[in-house]
Amino acid sequence: MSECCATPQDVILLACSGGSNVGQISNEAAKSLDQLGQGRMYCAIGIGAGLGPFIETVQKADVCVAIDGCNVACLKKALDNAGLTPDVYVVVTDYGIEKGHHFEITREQIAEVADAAAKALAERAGTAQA
Amino acid sequence: MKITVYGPGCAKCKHTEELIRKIIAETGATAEVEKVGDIREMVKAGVMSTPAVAVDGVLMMAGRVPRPEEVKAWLAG
Repeated sequence: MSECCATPQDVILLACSGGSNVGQISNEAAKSLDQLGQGRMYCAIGIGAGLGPFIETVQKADVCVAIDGCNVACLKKALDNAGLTPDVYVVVTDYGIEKGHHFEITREQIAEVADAAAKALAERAGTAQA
Repeated sequence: MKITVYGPGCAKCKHTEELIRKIIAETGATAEVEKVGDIREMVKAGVMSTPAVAVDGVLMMAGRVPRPEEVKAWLAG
């Protein structure tokens, strides 16, 4: 994570990282947000596996950002099963990106999703301060 | 010449912009400086660490404040 502009809050970034273009866009968007100091990417699969320490880390975080690839919403369901609710929730297909079993993704697609999550985080921070 | 300073906004990012503007003024170089803090633009530009600096669209460095001699070298073309 870029320490220069790192958020002072403990923001956990989770991505579905699924086996499709939109799953991989979710992964790259979460990575980008981590690298740009918006939070730290964490292991969604650990939460899906029901591992206590992983669930506890998300429970203790200030903010949980979840990026699902599509409306199957695997990540959201995994979080639900663990008793967790994301503070910011983004679905890649909501941005006009059609899901397909291929990995041809563009930087523009990643940027759009990362930007959506970043804006939602900023809005939330603005709301929290008000 | 267009110099782009990428960073969401923090001390190092501001220092980077100030340093570049100062050296442009000192050397009398012809260069435009823009500051980009938008996440979308940073991801599109391939920025993976901030502050980052691009010269005419080419990323020159990232993750630290540039040294004055680096900035002078960019301005010298």
